[in-house]
Amino acid sequence: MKNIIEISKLSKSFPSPDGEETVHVFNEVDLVVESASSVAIVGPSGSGKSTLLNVIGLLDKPTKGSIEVNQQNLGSLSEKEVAEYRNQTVGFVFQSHHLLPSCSVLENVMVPALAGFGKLLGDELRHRATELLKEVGLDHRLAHLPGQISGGEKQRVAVARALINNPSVLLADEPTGALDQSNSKNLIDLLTQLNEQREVTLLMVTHSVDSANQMKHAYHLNEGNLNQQR
Amino acid sequence: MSLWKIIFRNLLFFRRQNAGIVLAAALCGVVLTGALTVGDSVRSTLRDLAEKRVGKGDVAMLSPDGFFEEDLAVRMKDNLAAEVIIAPIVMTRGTITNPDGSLRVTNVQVLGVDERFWKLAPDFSHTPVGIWSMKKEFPKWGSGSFFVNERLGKRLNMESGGRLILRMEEPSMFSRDAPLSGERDNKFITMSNPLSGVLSAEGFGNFGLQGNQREPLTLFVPLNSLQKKLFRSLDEISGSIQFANFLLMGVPNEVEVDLKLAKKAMNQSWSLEDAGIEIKELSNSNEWSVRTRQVFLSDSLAKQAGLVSEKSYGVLTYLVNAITNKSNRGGTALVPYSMMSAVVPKSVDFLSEDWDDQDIALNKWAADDLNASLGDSISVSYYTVGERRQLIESSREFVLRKILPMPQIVPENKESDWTPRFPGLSDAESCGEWDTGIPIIHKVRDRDEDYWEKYRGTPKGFVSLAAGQQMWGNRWGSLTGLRIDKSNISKEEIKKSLRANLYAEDAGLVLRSLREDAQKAVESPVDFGQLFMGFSFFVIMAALAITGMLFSFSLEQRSQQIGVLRAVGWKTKKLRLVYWGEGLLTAVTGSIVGVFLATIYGKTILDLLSGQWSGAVSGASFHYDASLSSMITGGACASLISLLAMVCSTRKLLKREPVELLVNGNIGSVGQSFVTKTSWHKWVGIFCLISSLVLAWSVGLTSNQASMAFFGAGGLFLVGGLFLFKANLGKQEDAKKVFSNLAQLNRRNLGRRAARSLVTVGSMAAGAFLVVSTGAFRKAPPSSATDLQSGTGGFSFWGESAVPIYDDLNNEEAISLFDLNKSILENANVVPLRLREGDDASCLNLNKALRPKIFGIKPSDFEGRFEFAEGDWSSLYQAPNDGAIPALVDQNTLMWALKMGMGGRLNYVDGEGKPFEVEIVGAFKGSMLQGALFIKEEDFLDKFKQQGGYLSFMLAGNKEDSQRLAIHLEDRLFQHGMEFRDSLEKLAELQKVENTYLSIFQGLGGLGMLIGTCGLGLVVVRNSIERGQEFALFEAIGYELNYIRKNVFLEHARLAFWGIVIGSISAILGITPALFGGILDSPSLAFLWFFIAFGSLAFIWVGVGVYLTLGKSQLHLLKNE
Repeated sequence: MKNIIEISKLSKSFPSPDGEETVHVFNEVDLVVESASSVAIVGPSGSGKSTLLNVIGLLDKPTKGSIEVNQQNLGSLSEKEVAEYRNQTVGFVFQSHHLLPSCSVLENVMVPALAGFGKLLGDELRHRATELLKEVGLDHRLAHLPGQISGGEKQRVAVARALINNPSVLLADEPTGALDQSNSKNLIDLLTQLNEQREVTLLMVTHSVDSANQMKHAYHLNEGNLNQQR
Repeated sequence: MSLWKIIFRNLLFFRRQNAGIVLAAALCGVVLTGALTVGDSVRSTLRDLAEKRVGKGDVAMLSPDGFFEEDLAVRMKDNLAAEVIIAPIVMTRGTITNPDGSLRVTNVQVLGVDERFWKLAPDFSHTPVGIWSMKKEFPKWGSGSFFVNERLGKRLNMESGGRLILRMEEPSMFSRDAPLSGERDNKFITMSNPLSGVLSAEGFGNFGLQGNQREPLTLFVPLNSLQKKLFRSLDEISGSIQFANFLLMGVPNEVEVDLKLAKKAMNQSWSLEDAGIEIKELSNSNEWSVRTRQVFLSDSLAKQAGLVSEKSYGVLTYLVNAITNKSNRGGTALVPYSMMSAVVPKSVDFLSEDWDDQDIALNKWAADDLNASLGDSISVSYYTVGERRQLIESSREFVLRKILPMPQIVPENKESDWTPRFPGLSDAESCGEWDTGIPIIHKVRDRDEDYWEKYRGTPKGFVSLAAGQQMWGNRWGSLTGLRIDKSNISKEEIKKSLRANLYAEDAGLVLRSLREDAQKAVESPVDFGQLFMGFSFFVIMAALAITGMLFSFSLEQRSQQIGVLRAVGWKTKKLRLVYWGEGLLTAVTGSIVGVFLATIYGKTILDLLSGQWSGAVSGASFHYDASLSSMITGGACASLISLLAMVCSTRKLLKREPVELLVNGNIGSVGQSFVTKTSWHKWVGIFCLISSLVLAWSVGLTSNQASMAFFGAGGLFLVGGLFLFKANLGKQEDAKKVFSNLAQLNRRNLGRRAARSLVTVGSMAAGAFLVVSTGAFRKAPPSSATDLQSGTGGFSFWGESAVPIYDDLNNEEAISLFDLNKSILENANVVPLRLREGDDASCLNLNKALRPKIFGIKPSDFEGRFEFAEGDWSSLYQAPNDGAIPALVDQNTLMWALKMGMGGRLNYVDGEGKPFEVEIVGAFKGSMLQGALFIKEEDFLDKFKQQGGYLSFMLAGNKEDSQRLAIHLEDRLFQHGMEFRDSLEKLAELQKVENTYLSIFQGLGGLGMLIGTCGLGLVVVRNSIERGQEFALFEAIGYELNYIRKNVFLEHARLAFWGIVIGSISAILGITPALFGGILDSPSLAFLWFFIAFGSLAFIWVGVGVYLTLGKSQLHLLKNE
């Protein structure tokens, strides 16, 4: 299997609130993720797991180090290329669903495809979104607004949204953080199923040992160091 | 931790947001306090002007239609405190020209004053006799000098030393309207002196009786110089020239003269001589005769004189044109121009007690001349004075009942006991010198001259008093003398009795509290403070909207904090205390800042009033003077309404459930539906649009109702447009329709906050509509001045003369008298108006009109002219039962200057000092007749008997003919100071005030709207912050930030676009008649600039809002750590 993510000596730090010190979130971490694999990043609160995921998803910038995804060095991307990367290469599932409250479930799924990078449009797009929602078990909720569905369902909509542009990498930042045990399990099952069926690389930050155990690999981030556990 | 500590910490922590609120509240404070200080400044300026106008004068005593002896001032002073100064003044009007006639100023107030007057000046040192003036090397005040006030100085634009010629009418002893009042034409006197200097307001240059910010054009002449010229005729009669018609009383220090004490002093001091009453000892009978300078005894004098003694009787002597013997016994056909007396027959021994009113007695001279015998029919013809001094010859037939013996010869320089001093008659050496004001049509024979030489004005015949009064009685009186038996009463006793029973008012003396009137007049009918508060409505509303939005925005940012506090058990009351307490402190801080900055706003407004908006205040300029109370009131009101705005904008927020607050107010997060029914909005919108167009179409552009109808049509269009916008919002909100691109999603977002979007569009559209469409109410003079129903009443010119003209200028007599060109008068005619001077109650006068001037008119001259809001010309004949005089007035004057409605009454004093009421019975619509009351001529003459002639003239006819006539009359009546003005110009001057007010409203309204566009930026910021995570998500899923910004900009620009489009179409529809109808004043195209500025600013603010919130990536909002 080829590597889809290659991180080398990646560091993230920021000045302390008083400006006198530098807080190191993580320091010269290395990470290699194979294509279509699933990876869990675990660690205590505040260890920088989400920051690492944000950096990989280009929602944040590293202080130093390099990241290559699909043999593309993310450090040298223009603003447009960053947007295209977020839109086409990765799909993000947040702890909070971040669904657009004014858009229906179907529309929420379609939104990423309207950014102008993909070729899916019109009925084709609607069909694909419907299919994805069917895949996550929400084909009966297409016209519902986010306010009208449950938390677990919202998160599944968020998963479908992340997959609309058929990304290579699915980044999930504590996707079950706001869900109960049952919904959490269902969501992790869904993610692993999608990982296997669609061969989409899954990189997930989680607190849950159970969830982490369902991933093929697990890394532990603590005090700025990333160590492979499995 | 106390609540106050929380409040202060919040204030400090959210200092950036609070700084914005402070600025918005400060703007509110600036405008409110600034407007109030404008009111203060106008009042203060008017007060200063009034104080300079009256100086240290407190009380005025006037003889409006006559003169009194100057030494009344000395006599009154003896009855008042020692420090009181009483200045005798001769006040008259005149025309000034330069020697070559190239410069002419008419209607100049001429004041004959002496040093006593200058002592009452605001600043004695600035008077011609003051130290300051001496330093300025003014020529010495005294005979041969003319001083002018600054306004007249500017008009003359002449160096000191330049020669001026002053023309005035010589005052007559009694009304020149009266029969036998003397020569028909005015007698003019001229004075020629060099201009000695220009007097400032401090030097009493602005002295005047009328409350008006525009000082009169005044010429000051030394009193004795003026008296020598004016009263030379009186000198011949009374042996004195020392007369005055005005006493000014005051104290040079802070003490004021008490009106009651002044009245008491007046009543104690006036003499019969002041009233022109004399008690003459008759040479041919044992009787006293009570007479008056005014020839005819007033009713009150006749009554009181009659009460002096039981043995008294009245006499009426008159000049008859001819005595004819109808029995024709071969004598002379007629005896021309004879005096004839009427007495109560039983009172005289030469007529029998059974004397009938048809009986006449002729003296032997007349009887012989007519060859008349007892029983002959004797006809007496005589002139009476009809309307407009038209001489009407009447005659009455009598039966010769008695032939009286030849009269006694009247010694030289003596008069007949029976005949009063008729001007132009009594002093004549011969009949040929008679100048009685009646045409001499019968030949005066040598024998008539002989009679005159021997017997002077001795009557040739006698009739009963009743018959005499029927023939010759008039409004000035029905007796020319009252005889009292000498045997029982002395002259002094008669004087004492008359003096005791007559009031000063009977002598035509009127007392007025000059200072009190000036203080009352300062209370301008227009409160400029309130006016500018009204005009600043949009600015205040914009400031309040911004205040409310900023505060609400600030609290919404803290909604999670509020949610937590609610979740931990804080009650709504306590939350309000904390957050509204914070609001109150910011409001108070802002208002205090605003109060300090209000000076800038106030001064700017005053500068504009002195400049660009000067049309509203007739060119007055004001000094800035803010009162502490206005500053406190302005600051307190600004704090209060700013707080109210904050309370209103956050009332619901603070009542929200914790769960709502904790999700940061994100609508939709807790399941609200976005779907609203929109169909009825659409149909109502369409209905309104169609109604708007139908209304506009049905009325048409040139109808009289066009301005109001199109304003209504514009309003309907606005409402319709907003309904359609709402329907459109609802359509976009419909989440059942799946969007297929981001533009559709943006449109839907407009509907997410439908109320906010509608308020934004509605306020922009309504504001733009109101600000621009009020321009439709700008008034323009009618296209033709000859339109009878227009504001000019079809009169092309309206003029005034400095001195009265007694004759009807359309008549042959006047044409001959003034050498008028008859052909010019054929196509245009002159409508004369009598004028009683008073306050100008038009919108050109900022002072309160206490006693508006009165015009006496003949309603038939005005029939069908001018448009009435209430009543019509015939209303002048509907006199109220209680004797009030019915009057018409312009609607604007009624509403704004008099602040009255129909039936409102004003108090006046007539020519004899008696109070009377005038009741408003009708009102003209928007006319040039603003500023005065119009009563019918009969009522005018009844109340102001001694005021003769006409001072005001309207010209009817087509424009060209009227213009020719105006030029002709100005030329022929140059000496009278006749000056005409184009009626359209006069109307435009009045309309300019109203139009300027509209411009101010539009200007400040526009400013408010432009400031209000800042609110659109805040809406953008608020929406964007609320949707911050949404935008972050867009970024996270691959939308470029620029693309997001562009879409947010377009989304909100759409609001601005709708607001401007709906507002501008409605507004332009509203002013369509003004733009294209040609019947209204064409509005300034500044409204196009307003729209451009409005649109530009709106889009700029949207851009600023987008930049402020989406200037940086929002991705941090998605991060968990």
